[in-house]
Amino acid sequence: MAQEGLHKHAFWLYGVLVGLAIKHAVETVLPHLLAPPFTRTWESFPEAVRLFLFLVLIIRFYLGSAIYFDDVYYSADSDKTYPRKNYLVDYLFGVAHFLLFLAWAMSLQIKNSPLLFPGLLAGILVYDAVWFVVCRRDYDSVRRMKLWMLINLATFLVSLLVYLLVYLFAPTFGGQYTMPELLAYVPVFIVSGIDIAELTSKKRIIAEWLEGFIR
Amino acid sequence: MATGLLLLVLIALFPVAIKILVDLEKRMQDRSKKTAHAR
Repeated sequence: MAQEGLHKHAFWLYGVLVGLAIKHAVETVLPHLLAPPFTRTWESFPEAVRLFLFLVLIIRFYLGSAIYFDDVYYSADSDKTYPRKNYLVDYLFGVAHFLLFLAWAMSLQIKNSPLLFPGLLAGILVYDAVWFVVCRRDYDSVRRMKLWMLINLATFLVSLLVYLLVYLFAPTFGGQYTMPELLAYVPVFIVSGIDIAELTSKKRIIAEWLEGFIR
Repeated sequence: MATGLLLLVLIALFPVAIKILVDLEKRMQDRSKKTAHAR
């Protein structure tokens, strides 16, 4: 087990990265929403959706990482349930993940690269799979992250499918990429909402039901 | 933008490199234990 005092300080770094990302996202987008520079107010709608999605996802991942470290390293029977694990590797994957979130926050308002924000979202969702693949042979802690990894991967695939279908077949709205992008966020919103609700309550009904399938 | 994306890829791969080093260290420790035991 890693030293508990060290973990407290290590987790502060997560908090700092999350705080910086949220600060940047809110500071860049909120002024535009309160006093839109556009001629038509609906043009600021995609930015509002992006900001909301960003906040929901970063809160979900932060809570998820807190619960992961508590379960795998600091619960009463953690050493019995997960005998093989490595704090440094898990922690650094978390740091890299939250650095990706920081970059994602900075891509909220880059107008000339419309695919950068959804692309970085895809990277964030798929990054759990990299973590899983790298650790799957050596560490028992992969059992705890397997469901999250599969859910994030499935969310990415469904969102990508929605994006491509709308891009190819639906009429454009507010720009070539806007409508496909906004509809592709719907699965991410739904999954994130359910996950946050389950993370913050003791009853994990849907998570336990899904865990039954992957065992 | 390409430089930024390259930096993000490097950040994402950094933990993978650390994992490889951790594995290497563990393997060396196991080998030295076996050698000491054999002596």
